[in-house]
Amino acid sequence: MNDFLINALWASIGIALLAGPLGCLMVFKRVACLGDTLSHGSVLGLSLGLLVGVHPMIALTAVTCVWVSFLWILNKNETVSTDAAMALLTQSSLAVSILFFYFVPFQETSLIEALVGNILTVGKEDIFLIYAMDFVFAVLLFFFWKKWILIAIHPDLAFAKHIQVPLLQILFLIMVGLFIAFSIQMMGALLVPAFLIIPAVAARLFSKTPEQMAFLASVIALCSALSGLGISYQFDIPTGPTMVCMTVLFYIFLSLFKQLLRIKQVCLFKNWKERKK
Amino acid sequence: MTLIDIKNVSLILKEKVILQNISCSFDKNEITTIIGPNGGGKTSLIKLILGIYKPSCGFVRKKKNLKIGYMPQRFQINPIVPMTVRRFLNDVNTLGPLKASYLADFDMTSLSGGEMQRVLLAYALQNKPDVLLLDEPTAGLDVSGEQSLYQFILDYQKNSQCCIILVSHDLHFVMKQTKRVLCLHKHICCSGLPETVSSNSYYQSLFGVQVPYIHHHNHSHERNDDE
Repeated sequence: MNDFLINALWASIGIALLAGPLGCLMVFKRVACLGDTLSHGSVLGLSLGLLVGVHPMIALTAVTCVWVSFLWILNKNETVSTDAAMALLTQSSLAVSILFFYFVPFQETSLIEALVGNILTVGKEDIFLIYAMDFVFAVLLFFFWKKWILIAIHPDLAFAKHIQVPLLQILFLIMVGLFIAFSIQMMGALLVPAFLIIPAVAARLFSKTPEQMAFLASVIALCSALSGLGISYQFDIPTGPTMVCMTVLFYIFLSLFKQLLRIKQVCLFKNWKERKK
Repeated sequence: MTLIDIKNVSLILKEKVILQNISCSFDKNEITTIIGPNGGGKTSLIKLILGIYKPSCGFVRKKKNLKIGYMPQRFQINPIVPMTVRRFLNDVNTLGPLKASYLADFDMTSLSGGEMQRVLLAYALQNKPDVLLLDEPTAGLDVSGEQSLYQFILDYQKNSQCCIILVSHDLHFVMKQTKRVLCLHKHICCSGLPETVSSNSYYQSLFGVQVPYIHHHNHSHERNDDE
């Protein structure tokens, strides 16, 4: 196997494992569009890094933190609703980053690469970073999972339980931002949010508790990442889009399966009623 | 023993005065009902006590390690969160006295309005709170559901000797069953015994003179079973 393929394999496993729980928390909190905002912010970070000449990871992290604080400030402003604030940041960062790319004299990364990703560029140090993030986020998720769920259900209930609601909200935003910053190289800014949301939505079909849903979402993300990687390698097509297409296929397959089960149940119920007569 | 002490508190949100110069205190073993018109600041006062809102001036002082049980106003749970009642409550024993044990394995999204209210009350009762904050606990309940929920709250208070602060629109209940009423319209219009409050002119201008009708029973009803 090629070296880059093994790198890609490890990177996609590391990202898929985390996509499950993070994506679930995002849909629980009704901020499914948050991914778009932060991923466009990441493109801005990337372009800024190229323009100024600092390491892209440093620029990405810095811009992510700035974007999270902007989002927080806009959220406090009562005349801007959350979705409007997210759209505002998404569009403005896209426009600014396109301009930045225009001014970069020598392009190591092209705008298209930033938007749709390029798995060939994933190196050993990226994999190390992804697994370091996995470890730290897994610890954080372990400790704060239940609190985040309660905040998602009703923030005031969490307040009454003496949970530090604003602090945890900001921590969550930063985590999603960093997750996206670390994975746009592979998936591309336009596609990372899909990889967070679609497995979570698919997992909802067959889960009874939030934990089940997070686990199932991770499994779905992992399966689509691996199968997407295999297919894209086999047919020589772009990897990121193939992975996202696989998550969509999983969603369609699972919802059809659920529908079938429901039809079967209805039939059984009808039979039972007829027999009673 | 004072559990919560509110002194000269004002609250300004979005450049609008929500509460003005509120002073009151809540003690152990008493039920206080907060009444008032829409936008009168009832929920805001609850949120001040919880610490969700910080007072713009004045202070809210709470006893150390005060356990607060909170029942929010009716809300819709996001249907994408897979959550059973059992998982939400952790401890389903509090459902028993509410006659809602059968709800334990229901999905939170499948609950009716009244069932949701009972689950939320069960949630507030967990860990035996010292103070119970109930924000319109009977919203969306039918008449008999309302009665039994209020009866439950009264019985619970008698047994646990806790402090209950209750927001209610049901003036009949307020006037008949509670000992202390707080009428809130940005400021505390009047407070005290139900009789005192209902004879207050400000109260009468808010709710009218006729409401509430206090039914003093001076005769007995004979049930006619033949009918």
